[in-house]
Amino acid sequence: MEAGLAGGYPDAVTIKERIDVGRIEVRAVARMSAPFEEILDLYGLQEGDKAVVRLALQAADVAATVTDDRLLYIVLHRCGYQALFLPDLIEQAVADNACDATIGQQLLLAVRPRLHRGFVEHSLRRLEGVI
Amino acid sequence: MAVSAYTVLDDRIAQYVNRVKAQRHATEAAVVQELVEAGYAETVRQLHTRYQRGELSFRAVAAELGLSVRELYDLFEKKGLPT
Repeated sequence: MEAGLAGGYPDAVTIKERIDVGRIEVRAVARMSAPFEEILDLYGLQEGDKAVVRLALQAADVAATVTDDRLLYIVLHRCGYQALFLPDLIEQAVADNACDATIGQQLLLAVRPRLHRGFVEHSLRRLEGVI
Repeated sequence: MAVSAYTVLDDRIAQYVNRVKAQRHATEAAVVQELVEAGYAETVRQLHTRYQRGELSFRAVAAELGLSVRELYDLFEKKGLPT
């Protein structure tokens, strides 16, 4: 976030605002056992990636981890924890009535330019009820 | 931040540089810079492919390229590479 603020990225500003008012909680996570940490190293995960895995494994209130990172998704899945790609989260939000299908489609269209085409189209087709 | 580098070119690369230099009336430095940029673009493309296959995490690609995560997002976006 600090790097984003320094670079003037608007999302970093929003994140900081939400942390300041308590809508986003920053948590410290402890390292896991030595054998498990070794496995994370063997996957070639970076420190930020490892922090995501440690949080998922240690926090009892983490329902799912949202990531677009394939390797992180696989590692979390292999650890027995639910990982969602961003399009899956949008579909879930529609399924939970957090937003309607039209908003869900608009969100998917907004992220389409930067995500793998298949991932977005898959979710769009499902929201359209085509598949 | 730009850097200057001194390097010795392999004979075949030197022959190529000389041919392109003569053909385009370009400077040696411009031709070598073009080659380096092409090599960098290929490195980025290969790392992106490995990221998409789930062989490397996004952060690992950023570390490999000496970039921050944000700089890598910007680079992929500029090149039209999906994340």
